[in-house]
Amino acid sequence: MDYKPKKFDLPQDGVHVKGKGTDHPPYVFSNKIAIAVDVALATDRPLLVSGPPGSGKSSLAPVMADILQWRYLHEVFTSRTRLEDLTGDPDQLRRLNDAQVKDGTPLPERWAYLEPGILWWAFDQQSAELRGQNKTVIASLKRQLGEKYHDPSNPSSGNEINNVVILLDEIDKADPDLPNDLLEPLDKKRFNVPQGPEVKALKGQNILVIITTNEERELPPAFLRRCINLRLSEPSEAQLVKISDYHYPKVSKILRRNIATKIREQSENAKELDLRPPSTSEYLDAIEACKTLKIKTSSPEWEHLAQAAFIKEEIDLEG
Amino acid sequence: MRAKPYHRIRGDIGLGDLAKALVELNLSETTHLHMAFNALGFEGPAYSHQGKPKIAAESRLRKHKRPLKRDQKIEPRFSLPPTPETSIQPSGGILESTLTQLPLAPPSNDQPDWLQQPEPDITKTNGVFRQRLFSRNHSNGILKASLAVRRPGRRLNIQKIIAQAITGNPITKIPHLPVGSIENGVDLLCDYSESMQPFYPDLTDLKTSLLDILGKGRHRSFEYDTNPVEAISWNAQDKAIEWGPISGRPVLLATDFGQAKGRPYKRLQFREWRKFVNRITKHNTPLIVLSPMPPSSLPRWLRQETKIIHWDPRTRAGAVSKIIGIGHTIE
Repeated sequence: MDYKPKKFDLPQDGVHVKGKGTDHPPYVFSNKIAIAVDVALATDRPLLVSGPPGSGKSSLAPVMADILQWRYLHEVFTSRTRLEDLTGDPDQLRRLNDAQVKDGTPLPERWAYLEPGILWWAFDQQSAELRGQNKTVIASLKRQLGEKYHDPSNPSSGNEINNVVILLDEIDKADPDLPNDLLEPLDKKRFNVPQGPEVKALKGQNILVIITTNEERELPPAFLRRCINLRLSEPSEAQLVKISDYHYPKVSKILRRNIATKIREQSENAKELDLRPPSTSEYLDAIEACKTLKIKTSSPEWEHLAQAAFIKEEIDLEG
Repeated sequence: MRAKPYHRIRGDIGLGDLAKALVELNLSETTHLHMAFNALGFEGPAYSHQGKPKIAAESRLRKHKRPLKRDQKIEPRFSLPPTPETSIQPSGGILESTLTQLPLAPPSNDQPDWLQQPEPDITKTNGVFRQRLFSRNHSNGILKASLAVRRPGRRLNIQKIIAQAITGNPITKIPHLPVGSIENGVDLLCDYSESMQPFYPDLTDLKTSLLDILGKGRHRSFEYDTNPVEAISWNAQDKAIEWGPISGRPVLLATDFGQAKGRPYKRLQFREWRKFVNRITKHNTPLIVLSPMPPSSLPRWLRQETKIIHWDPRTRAGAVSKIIGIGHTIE
């Protein structure tokens, strides 16, 4: 890698090894990845990351949070994810349950049941903690309810209090209308919580939004036009070996290189059969297995592993 | 990282974003510039900071077009006579001219050079314009309305809550108002019989639209000739896979039932239709029919208990919602 990022720091070899208190594996940056992130930070636009499974789409966000020393928030999309899950929504069931309890405890107002979503936590953490109220009001309610007061739990992890990296994972799994619903909050950095306050990002706050897609479904053109695009490819043999240098430095490099070659062959084979190709995880699993079982390239078991290919059809097994 | 100005309304990524990226990142290497341009959705230029900028050969800007050299040949799209080299400058006034009849040229077997040039490749010409049965603007909305399945939404069903509260019993599950969802996906069965020939391109458009809306995981396509019970598809190994209904997954039938006028096309028989409908019903699978023939022109036994949507440019999502409602009910 010969590109030196301007908006964040990277070692010369382009590999970020996890910082203290983080749990992500080493991440190998390429010129393309580093430039795309730099462009997203310079232009303050969301970064849309696509690519095959296991190419490092979802890992990029926590890595960037670690590098930048910003807070980190993430949400994995499902077909039922709605905008209100990301902004804020009242917990109606808890409200109804409290209404039915006849122990003399006064029923709090509607706002007390708001559950802030990750965009609320991202834009204004303090407002999310207070559910859009001020400290005096919250203190009064806490006195009133005692132990029954329900504090919203902050999903952020990380350091710097205001700047934040947000991961919106697998947006193509969400309802087709959701990407367009996201345009306004991401563009204007503000939104209205249903039956709640207006939330705005703090002045001077830096926000890096990373959105991933498996490209299983087309995203709306209006959404695509407002995102920086980064398409990741499957790691090459050399990149796989480089990744394993950090995970398994003590395992023989020849073995790791041979496994990488095998993984790439399986990847080509899988594409022909329209199957999911093996990813970095499978590669590292294979090294772990060889290490634990003490398999080397000279072992007889290695010969069997080297000849393994994906099975075409179950029926082929029966001949 | 320096503090940013307060956020204002922004639109699509444009030249402003490109300018910001170029200035803040100070990219000098051509490959890095290309990557930045591509990330922003632009085509990158091929220029260098050293000396005069070199204009890309494929630049569309008129002033960047280099004049053709003398020995460069023009490859015409069609066989046309060459443009004369000299151009006539208008005098600015009205010229007097007379037409003089020239003697006929003697017959000759020599053909002019421009006739020798190769014929145009007609495969590269644009096809004849075809009006789609569902326009691009409306197709997604119509299909979503057709395939939606009812499920509880976010909004509370206040009336039901009140009714339950009145009984005095504790409410254990909050009732929600239903919404339509396409999460169950669809099985598309396409009729490729002879009467459907004029609509083959529309069948392709339909498959593409469904793939765009639902993605690969929630969409299967099958083909058949006249009888949908015999619908099949082919996997990557060219092996035929017979269609079988999936419980709760809507089936979309794109067919004219052989009812097109003019020729005695092979038509779906009542018995075959009942067999298909019984199979669908047994698996609790909603059935929707897309027919290029007006539903009123179809036999009554085909229209009974079947939701038929007219596959026509005038059909709109609102009309489909009136037929389907919020969504199909899956029990």
